[in-house]
Amino acid sequence: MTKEANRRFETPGSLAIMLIYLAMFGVFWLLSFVYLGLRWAIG
Amino acid sequence: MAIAEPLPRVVSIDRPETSRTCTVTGLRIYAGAQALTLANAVAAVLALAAGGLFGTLIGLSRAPALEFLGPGTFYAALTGHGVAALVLWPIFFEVAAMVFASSILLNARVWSMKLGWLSFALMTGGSIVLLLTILLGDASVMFTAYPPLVATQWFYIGYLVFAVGALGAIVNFALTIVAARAEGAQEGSLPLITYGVGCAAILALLSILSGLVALIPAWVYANGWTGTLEPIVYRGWFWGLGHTLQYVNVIAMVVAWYGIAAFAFGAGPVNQKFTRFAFVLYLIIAVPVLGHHFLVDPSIGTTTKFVGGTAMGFALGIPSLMHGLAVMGGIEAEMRARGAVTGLFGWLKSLRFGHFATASLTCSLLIFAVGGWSGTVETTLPLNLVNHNTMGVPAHIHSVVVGGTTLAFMGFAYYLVPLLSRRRLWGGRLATVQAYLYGGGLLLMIVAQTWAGALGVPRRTQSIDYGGGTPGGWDASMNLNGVGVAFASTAGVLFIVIMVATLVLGKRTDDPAELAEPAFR
Repeated sequence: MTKEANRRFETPGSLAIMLIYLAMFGVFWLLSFVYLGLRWAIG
Repeated sequence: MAIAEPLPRVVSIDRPETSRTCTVTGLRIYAGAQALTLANAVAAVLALAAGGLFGTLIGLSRAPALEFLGPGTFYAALTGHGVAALVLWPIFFEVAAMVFASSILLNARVWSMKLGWLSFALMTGGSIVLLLTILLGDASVMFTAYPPLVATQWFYIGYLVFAVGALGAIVNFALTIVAARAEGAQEGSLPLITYGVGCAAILALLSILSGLVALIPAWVYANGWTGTLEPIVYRGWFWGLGHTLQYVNVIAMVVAWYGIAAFAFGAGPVNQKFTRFAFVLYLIIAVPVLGHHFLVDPSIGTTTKFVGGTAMGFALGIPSLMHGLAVMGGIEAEMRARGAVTGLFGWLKSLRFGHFATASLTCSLLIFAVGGWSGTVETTLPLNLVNHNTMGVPAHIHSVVVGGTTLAFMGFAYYLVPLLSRRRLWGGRLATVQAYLYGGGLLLMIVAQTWAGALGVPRRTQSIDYGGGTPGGWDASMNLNGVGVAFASTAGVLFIVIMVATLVLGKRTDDPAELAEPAFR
C-alpha cells in the first residue's frame, strides 16, 4: 500500500473489529456442528 | 436526473403553517410535522410500555422459582407481548421516523395533516381494540394466531384498522417527499436517513399488504363464514407480515444508528454509495428469506428450505455487516480527522463511554452482532432441526429486535424528543445507566435463553414442570433468564420515566449544547 493510499485509509480499526467478529462467527458456527455431532453421538 | 424535474404540481401544498429553525440542525421545523412526529413517538413509547409489561410478566413467570401466571393469563400476556412489542411499538416509531425524515429533514411540510392525523387515529384505535381483546382474554392466540386457533373477530378487526392507518401514513410519507421536491424544498439525492426510512417504508408496505392477505381470511374463518383455512397458506402470508416487518425495524434501527452517530459524534458514513447499496440489499433479500420459518414443515421441499432459509439467511447478514462497518467507520474517521488518535483502536479512547449515546449505540451494535451469530445458526437447516421451537429462538429474537433495535431507538429518542420538544433531556446520567442496565439485562437473558435452548427447553410454554419430571439444568437456565428479565424491565421503566420527565419537567432551552450534548472528548 502506498503512503498516499495508507493516509486515505480512514477506518482500519473498524475493519479490524469487523474481521475479529467474522472470525469469531466462523469459529462458533463450526463449533455448533461439533456440538450437534456430539449430541447425535451421545444420543 | 430527469426523473426529479418535471414533477406534477398537484402534490404541492397550499397551506400556511408556522415554523421554526432548529438551533442544533439548522433545519426548518413546521408545527404540524413536529406535532405529528411527537404524537407517533409518544404512542410508540406507550406501546413499548405495554409490550414491556407483558414481557416482564411472562419472562418472570417462566422462571420456575416464580411461575405465578396460570395458563389463561400467561397466553394472553404472551399474545400481548408479541403484538405490542413486535408490531405496535416498531410501526408507531417507524411512522414517527417517516414524518421526521420526509418533512423535517427535507425542510418541508407534511403533505396532508388530515391524512397524517387520520392515520394516527386509525392506528391508535386499532391498537386499543387489539389490546382490549387480549386483556379480556378473547384473543389468547399468541402473536402468530395460527389457524385453527381463532380469536374474537375484534382482534382481527383491530389489526386491520391498524394496518389501514399505517398504509395511510406510508402514502403521506411518499407524497410529502414528492411535494418537497415539487416545491423546491429538497433537491438532489435524498439525505441518507430519508433514503433509509424510504427503504423501510417499502418493506412496511409489502409486509402490511401480506398481513392483510393473511388476516382477512383469518377474520372470515374466525366468524365461521368459511369452514376451512389452509394453515400453511396462512403461515406463508403471515410471515410476509411478521418477518418482513422485523426488517422494517432493522432498517429503522440502522437509521437510528446513523442518527446517533451524527448527533453524538458529528459523524456521517465514510461512503454514501456503500451505505445506500446496503439499504437496497435489505429490500432484495428480506422477502425471500421467509423460507426459514418453514424449515421443519413437511409440506415444503429441502431445496426451497435451503435457498429460502439457509442461503438467504446468510445473505441477509451482509447488509447488516456493511452498515455496522459504515457506522463504526464513520465515527472512527471523524475521531481521526479531529486528530490525536494513534494506533488501530486509539479512536475508541476519544469516545465518552459514560454518555448515554455511546452507551446505547455500543450496546445496540454489540447485542445485534450477537443476534447475527444466532440468526445464522437458526437459519442453518441441520442446526434449526435441533433448535426449533426451543428457547434458542427467543434468544435470537431478543438479540436483534430488542437488544439491537429497541436500544438504538432509545438512544435516538434521547436526541429526537429533546430536539422536538425543545427541552433538555431529563436525567442524562440516568439515561447512561438505563442503556447499560438494559443492555446488561438483555445479554444475561440472551445467554440464559441460549443455554436453555441448547438443553431443549421449549418456548411459548407456560410451565416446564411436566409433573416433576423436568430435565436437569432447565430450571437453572430459566431462573437465570428471570434475573435478566428483571434487570431489563427495570431499565425499560427507567426509559419511560426519563422520556415522560423530559416532556414534563425538562428545562426549556434552544441551546444546542444542552439539546444535543456531544459524546466525544
